[in-house]
Amino acid sequence: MTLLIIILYLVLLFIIANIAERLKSKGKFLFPPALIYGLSFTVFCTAWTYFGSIGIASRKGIEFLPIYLGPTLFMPLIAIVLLKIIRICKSQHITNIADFISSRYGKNSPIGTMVAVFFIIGVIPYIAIQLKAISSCFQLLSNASIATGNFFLWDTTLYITIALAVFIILYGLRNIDTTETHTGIMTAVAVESIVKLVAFVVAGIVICFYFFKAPGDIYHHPIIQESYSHLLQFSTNENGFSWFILLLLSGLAMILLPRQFQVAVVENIEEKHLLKAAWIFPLYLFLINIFVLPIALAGNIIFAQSPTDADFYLLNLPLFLHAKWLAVIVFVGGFSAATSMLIVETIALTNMVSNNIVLPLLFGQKIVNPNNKRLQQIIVDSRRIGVFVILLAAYIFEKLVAERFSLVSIGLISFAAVAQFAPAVILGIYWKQANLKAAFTGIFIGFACWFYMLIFPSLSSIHPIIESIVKEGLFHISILKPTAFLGLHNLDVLTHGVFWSLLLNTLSFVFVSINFSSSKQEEFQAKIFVDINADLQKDLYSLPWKGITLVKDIKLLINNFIGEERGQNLLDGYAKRYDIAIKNENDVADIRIVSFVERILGGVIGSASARLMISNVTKNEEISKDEVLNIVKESQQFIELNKELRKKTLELTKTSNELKNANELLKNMDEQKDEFLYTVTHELRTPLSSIRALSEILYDNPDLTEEEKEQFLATIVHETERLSHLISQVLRLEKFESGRQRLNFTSFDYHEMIKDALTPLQVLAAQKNCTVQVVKPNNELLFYGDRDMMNQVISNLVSNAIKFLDKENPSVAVRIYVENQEIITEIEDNGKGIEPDLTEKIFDKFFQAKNQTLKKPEGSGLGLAICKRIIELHQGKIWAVSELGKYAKFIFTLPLERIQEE
Amino acid sequence: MITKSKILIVDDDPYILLSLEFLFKKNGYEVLIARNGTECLDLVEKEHPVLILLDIMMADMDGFSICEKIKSTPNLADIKIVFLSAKSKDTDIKKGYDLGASLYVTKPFSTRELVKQVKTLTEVS
Repeated sequence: MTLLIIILYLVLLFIIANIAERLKSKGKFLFPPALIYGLSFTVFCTAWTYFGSIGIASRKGIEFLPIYLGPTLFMPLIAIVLLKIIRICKSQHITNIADFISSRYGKNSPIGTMVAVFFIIGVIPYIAIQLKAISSCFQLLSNASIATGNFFLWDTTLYITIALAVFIILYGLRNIDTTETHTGIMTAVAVESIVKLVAFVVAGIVICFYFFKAPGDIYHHPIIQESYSHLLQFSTNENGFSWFILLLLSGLAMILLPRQFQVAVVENIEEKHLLKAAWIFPLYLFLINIFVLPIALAGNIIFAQSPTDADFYLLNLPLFLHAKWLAVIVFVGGFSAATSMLIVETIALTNMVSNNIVLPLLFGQKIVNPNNKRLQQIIVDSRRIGVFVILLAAYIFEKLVAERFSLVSIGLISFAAVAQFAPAVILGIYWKQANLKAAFTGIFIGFACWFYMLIFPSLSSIHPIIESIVKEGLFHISILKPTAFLGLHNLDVLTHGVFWSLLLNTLSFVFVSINFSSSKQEEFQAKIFVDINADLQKDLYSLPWKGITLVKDIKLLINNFIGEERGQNLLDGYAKRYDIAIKNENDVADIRIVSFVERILGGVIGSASARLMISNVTKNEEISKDEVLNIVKESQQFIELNKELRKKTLELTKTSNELKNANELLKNMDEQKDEFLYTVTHELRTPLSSIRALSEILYDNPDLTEEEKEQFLATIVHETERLSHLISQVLRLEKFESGRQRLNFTSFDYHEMIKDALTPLQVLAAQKNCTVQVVKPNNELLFYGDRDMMNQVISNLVSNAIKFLDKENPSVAVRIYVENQEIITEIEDNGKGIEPDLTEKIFDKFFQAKNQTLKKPEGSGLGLAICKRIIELHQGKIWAVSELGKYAKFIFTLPLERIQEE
Repeated sequence: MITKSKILIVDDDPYILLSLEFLFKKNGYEVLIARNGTECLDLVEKEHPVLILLDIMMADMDGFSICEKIKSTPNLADIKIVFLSAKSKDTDIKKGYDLGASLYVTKPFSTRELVKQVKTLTEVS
């Protein structure tokens, strides 16, 4: 009876798939593609969900949740990562995770093979569990109606397996190009997911609302309250970490399980469908999980006296309650769950095995020649055989080993296995430095830990050696115990194993990536993967081929693998789009065409094999990868260089400006020097003129009067003196100017110095009837400077003051006071003052006051200039203040604390 | 009676004036003295000397501008100008001649030469 229903159901699936495929060839869809895409994500919910969750819930309450919370909580992150992966896969024609990893790490074949093998090890048990679930269901249902022996059941599951294999071959392997989406299968899967949900929800409603009248009744039932109240609470913190691990695992599984990858990435038609899936899937998870806990508790209640396998409460409850129709519905739902998983997972695995194990083997060992006309047939046949082999392996596994493990634990171990590819995949798409050696190391270490810590402990009953290792650790070293590695012993086996395997995996991955270099091919691929979103020239995806590839060879390749008609269409389409002329057979093929063909082939046989195929038909080495990467690097360097150049240019301009300024300054100084020289010689000539003229007169006129002689001679003497004085002043000033003036710094009493300077001037002052007054503070004032120089300054200023006096009561006042760590000296006379606009000019060289009328003033005009220089050498300042006709005041400051100058 | 020729000596250095005054008085000239540009122009107007011994570096006006002024005044243009200056650059000398000077003498000068040249210049009148 049940069998009949199953057969009908299978036939229905076949029909749906068929219709969907037929419609697709006409461009229509049975259901909206976005909806199908979103629902297809639910292959995540397998028989485990259907039966296993209830089993866990009945024993541990809410502990069943994290596996579904994981995808729900991490959905946004998962979607982002998936989007990037989708883009990469679509552009590189990648159709499974093994090929993904192989391509990312330099189109390397061995790692692709290793990954495929590990996937098989990790996933076949999971497939086996689905088969077990189906057979258990059969058993339960049949017990209720017919008494049968094992033989019959054994046969039934086998036949179902065969039927599924046929289904897969018919609708899953239609096209040799694995990039083609499988509309028929996906539609069937979507239908199955609806069936799953509906069946579960119906069962839930019936159990909770008909048999118990209300879920509340379940929760408040005495049995629950007595013995199972702990199921309704969250346990303490030691569960926190295991919850975290479970969340992480289920999140990673969304990306890394072959069926999820197939459904989310390979079957994706439009990127925006991801958005729809992002909410459909969590909603589905929510709906399908609502009734898990109530049903589990209901089971606990009803079977309290006669314990049953909680995993199958969902079937047993309706049976117990004599609602066989409900049991059948549940079975159909469970069957859907199991088979949708089976179908998709097998397709994905077959893909992997074919492209990453079988074909490399065939081509590598030269068992098959790429030019073989029957190439396509060979490939398709190998895939068909692959389907049978995988399903058969699962079947055998189920019969032999599955008895030991519960549904859930195998599922979790599977999750843990695929999680080992997380560093290679996820770090691989975000970190260019991740390299091949790291992937090998990480995955290998991860799997080693996985095996040692998760599988090994369950094998202790096989052999005493295993048992002793499990109990005491490897080589009797207790910190190497598979369940308490490095002393971490509070964790349950799964959490412990996952933690260590992922940790060591990731650490070794990162370590090797940082400390070892990648090959050029790896770097190239890394750039493509990580920068997929960048606006690269979309067609430069393959390492260009330097060699010569003839058009006829390329055509042959593509025809062999894809078929003549399709191959030709593809080539023509590409050539038209990019305006490339397909030349004659014997011409060299355009590089873009070669790259295109390589990508197409990658979709058929995997990227590593595709590369191999192309290199076989290309004569000469490919462009040294150095050259190509150099081109890429060069353009980067170009940008860097440009920046450098611009910076240097700016600096250069600055320097050149500075040089120009310095030059100007030097020229000015040169001119100034000339000016100075000229002015000095001019000044010297004047007295010299008088001396000469008068000397000549004296010589030519012996009959001068005594008076005249006296006058002339006196003048000569006087001018000679003036000349000498002038020369010495000039020399002194020049010494100051050139910095050669040696200063003799000592500590002396400032007031004493003033007194010394003024003493010789008393005579002059007396002559003019001038009073000289000194105002100073009483205490000694020590000053560190050149005493003689300062003496000259005072002397000069005071004598000037005396000379310019013109009043009735001429007076000169000298005032000294200390303020702000400076000595301030003022010399004031009540003479005729200085014109306002000349108060600065008077300190210039050779300046002499202009409004003289009768007599040219004494002096060289250099006195004040020299004073200024002296004051400046003492780091002071000097200036003049005056009111015309009233007074003139010279002020200078001398800092007491001088900065030492070397 | 031979009228003494009038020459004007313009310089701000008193000692130069001393020597030049004696020199030309001794040689039979009537000597007028000016110590600055203003005095000079004043005397030029009033006395109309035949020749001016003109210093260049002076306080209020320099000799060049005085020369220019005189040479551009129609009734004074015939007065001969002799520059007597410590400024000895080629450019100065050229400028002097361009402005219409009859002679440019640099200081220090030879008294004998100077007298000879002035005599030559004032003979032809």
